[in-house]
Amino acid sequence: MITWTDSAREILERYTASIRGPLAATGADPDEVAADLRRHIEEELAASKILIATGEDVQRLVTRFGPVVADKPGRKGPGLAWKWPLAAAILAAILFAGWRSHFRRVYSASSTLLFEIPVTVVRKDGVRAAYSSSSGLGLNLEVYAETIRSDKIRRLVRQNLTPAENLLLEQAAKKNLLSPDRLGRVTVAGGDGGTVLRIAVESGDPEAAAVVANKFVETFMDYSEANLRDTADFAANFLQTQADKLKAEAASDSARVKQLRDAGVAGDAPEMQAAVAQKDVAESNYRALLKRLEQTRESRAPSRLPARPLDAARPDPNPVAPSARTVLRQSLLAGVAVLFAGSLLAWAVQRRSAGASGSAKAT
Amino acid sequence: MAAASNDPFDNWTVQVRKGVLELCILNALEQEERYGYELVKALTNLPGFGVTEGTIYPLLSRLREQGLVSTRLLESPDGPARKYYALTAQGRRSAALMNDYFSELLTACRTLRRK
Repeated sequence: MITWTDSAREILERYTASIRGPLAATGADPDEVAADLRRHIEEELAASKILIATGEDVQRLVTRFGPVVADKPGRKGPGLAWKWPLAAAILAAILFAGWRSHFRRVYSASSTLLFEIPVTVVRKDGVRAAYSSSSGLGLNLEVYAETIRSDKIRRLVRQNLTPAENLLLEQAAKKNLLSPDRLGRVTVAGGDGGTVLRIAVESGDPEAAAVVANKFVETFMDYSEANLRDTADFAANFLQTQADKLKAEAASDSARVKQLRDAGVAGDAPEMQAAVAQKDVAESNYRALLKRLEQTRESRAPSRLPARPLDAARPDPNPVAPSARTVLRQSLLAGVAVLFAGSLLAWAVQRRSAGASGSAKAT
Repeated sequence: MAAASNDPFDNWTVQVRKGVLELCILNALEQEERYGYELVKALTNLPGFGVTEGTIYPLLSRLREQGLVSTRLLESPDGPARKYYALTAQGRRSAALMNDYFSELLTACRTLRRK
């Protein structure tokens, strides 16, 4: 076992740090090579019967190791020759796509949803049913806005389109390349302590924009209702199970009281009083749970929905300028497409020329 | 440094060594597995090569990354644990192809000289 002095360790660390950069160019694993070199030094010292590695020993060895020489040739050839034409093509594609999408006709339509503040209800028994502050409402609106923006709602909107609406959207999509799918660009804005969410849709056709905006409202309402129903159904099923259990307990307690009476136990006897009290508690619990179950079932009603449609979207024949984000996205997409196509072409040409040189070598 | 030399012979030998060193490593492992220190000593002692540890270990690491050699660590009674290198099946195939090609090159080169 070789003992390393601090200076020896420091010199080796300095050396391995200095060769890390060149090593990366050779395709070797720098950590592996550092470990190999350390092992080599230890072998070398062990062979010379040296038990303590000093700075001087290690310095002598690393000087002999010399610098790392990249034996692996770098990537050259057609790839570099393609660099400038490819860069020029990407730039041209970005500019052209940006210009084209900037001057493309886009139509916008928006529909709105009004969210209602739940009323604070204080019951006779002092239980607070619902309460909402303005800040709490703002937070909820953002949650609803995120729901409308979600892929799930977008997918449901596509599923809910009628054949006639689908046809309309197909025609709009042909006129306009802005849509990633046929629905167009959808933005949901609102919040800030208000109670209205606006769903704006940009499309290549005014009627298609209005159809999609209204479809989003319709789908969101259906989704909310189904969601509300699912939650209430789950709660009702749970409460029903609990109620059945309590009913059985109450029946068992009643039977016990009857049994005591039949046995002639007096009404003021401690045993009878305890049985009656237990029966009363069980019946009271059962009645309370039935009431809760009834309230839960009522909450399935559509009147408990968080929002209602306010303004429906109408087709607006006046085009609007596409958003800067849309223009930027189109430009970047065009740039990436040209980069991909150019790289593929360069790779194919490089492969072809490599094949040709291989054939030349063989001959 | 030899690579920076303006002497045409020096430059040529550096290029030849670079290409042949990989083949030398594969040939050195053809018969049996060898541990790093032993392998490096065998290569650095080759006449005319003048290679150092700083060249060989990165090359060994790259050959392992390429799947041409495999490694395993074994304890040694004489010193630190030893890292043994062995040819993989792919390494054997590559070595055979490289040896054939190298022989062809040498033959072609000598044929030209006789003419």
